[in-house]
Amino acid sequence: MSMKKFITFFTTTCLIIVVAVLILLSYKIGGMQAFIITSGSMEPTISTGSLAVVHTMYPSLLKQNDIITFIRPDNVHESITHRIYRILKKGSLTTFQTKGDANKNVDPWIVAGGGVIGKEFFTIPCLGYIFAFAKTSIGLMLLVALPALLLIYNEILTIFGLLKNNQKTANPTQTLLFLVLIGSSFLFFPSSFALVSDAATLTHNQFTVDIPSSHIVISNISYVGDEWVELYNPTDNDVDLKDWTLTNNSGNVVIIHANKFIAAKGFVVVTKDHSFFHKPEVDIIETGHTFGNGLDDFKDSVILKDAAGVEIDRMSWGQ
Amino acid sequence: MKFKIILSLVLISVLSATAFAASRAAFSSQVTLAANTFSTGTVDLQISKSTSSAPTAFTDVSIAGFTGNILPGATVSQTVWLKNTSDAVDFLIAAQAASVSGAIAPADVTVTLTPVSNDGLTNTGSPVIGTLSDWESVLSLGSTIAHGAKQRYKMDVSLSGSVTTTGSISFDFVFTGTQTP
Repeated sequence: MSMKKFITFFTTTCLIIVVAVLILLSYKIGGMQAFIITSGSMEPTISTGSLAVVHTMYPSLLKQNDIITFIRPDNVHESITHRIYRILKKGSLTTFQTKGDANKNVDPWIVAGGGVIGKEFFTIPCLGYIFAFAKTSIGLMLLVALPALLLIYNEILTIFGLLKNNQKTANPTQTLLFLVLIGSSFLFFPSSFALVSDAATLTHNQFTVDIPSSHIVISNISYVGDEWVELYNPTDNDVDLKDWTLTNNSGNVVIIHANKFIAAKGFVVVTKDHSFFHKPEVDIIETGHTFGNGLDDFKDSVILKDAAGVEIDRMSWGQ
Repeated sequence: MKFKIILSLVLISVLSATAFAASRAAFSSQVTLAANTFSTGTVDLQISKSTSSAPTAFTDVSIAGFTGNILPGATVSQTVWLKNTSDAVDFLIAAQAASVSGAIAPADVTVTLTPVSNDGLTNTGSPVIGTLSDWESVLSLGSTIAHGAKQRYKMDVSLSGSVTTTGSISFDFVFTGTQTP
């Protein structure tokens, strides 16, 4: 075998192997499958644009801190590549809590063992970008359509050359042929998110139960948009609210003229117009007036006084 | 010569079939193609308790929550803003109660989160209702915040009317923004 033939044979064999591996990895064959990582929540371990090759593994064999690719529990059309944060076992059932290395919080789901596609075997940085490029219109044209057309054109010239009893006018180019095959195999590679997330927390919310025993209280206020004040009667007796008043920071007084009772352990809502409050089941007192000059969205207070002008309760908001 | 012509015709057929199959694979799976958008850059969810319709001051990680008294059977309404300051990633928002403690049973406290318009007057999404026990698991708010956008939420905290003893309950509320496809 001449050196030229040997090189041709060697190159062809290598290209066939590369194409075969690419096609095998684009499907789940031999327990291996490759995914294009499209985001950066596993950085710095796996960078965006990497190609991650995973292999099938029984869920019971997976360990904490293993990197797995799994079907997203709330969207079966997507796969995610994240690290196992915690393994939860209940009888024979194994589930996983997962987290991206770059994410502050664990993922908002529990992954069932059956949802795991495989454990990370190895990753190749940046290769995913090339594979993803093949899926674009330009990539498809450059890597598949154009080489294929050139080869077809070449073969047509060959046929005409042979029919004219001449030597063929062009030689099929192996490179072009394999470019078509490799480009085609790129198109079958699925993507996997390394899903990024971030969290923000309202810390130490604290609510104390207030059980007043002797007087009416302001239990809730709406000061944004439709304005209303909710009163609660914690006592065991009905209370007549006639001539009770509500005042805000402006000093203007709203008087409850109606002979309206608030039932024992009951609520009423005081508002200008019943259309301001949208729960028909709640007892409403209409005053026909706004509270003072209107309740301020940022800083104000409401003071409740009885018919004798004695302050019964107040509620303030804002700094 | 005949053999060579047949070989060329076979090659043309194989190439045409391969190119056709590849094109079909690429263009019939639009979801897969769409998923090949690479997400890079910064990812950040920020929070504010402002009642303004156009808040400017947001905090990166956490802010002190709400405190106050609450009557049995009553509801306290609060305002929470979330802002997605990420470069290019849109967030699907979920929330979870954490570090729940106190004398009041979590099942007696109901938290309702509703996406509302910037002025707080109109609901822009469905409310998500659950007791603090329910919120100890992650619940999706079903709303998405695009990168660079912010969303106002009304947070109603209600105490069951059956509570007859004094005491308090304390909890953190963790909002998580997860990248959308």
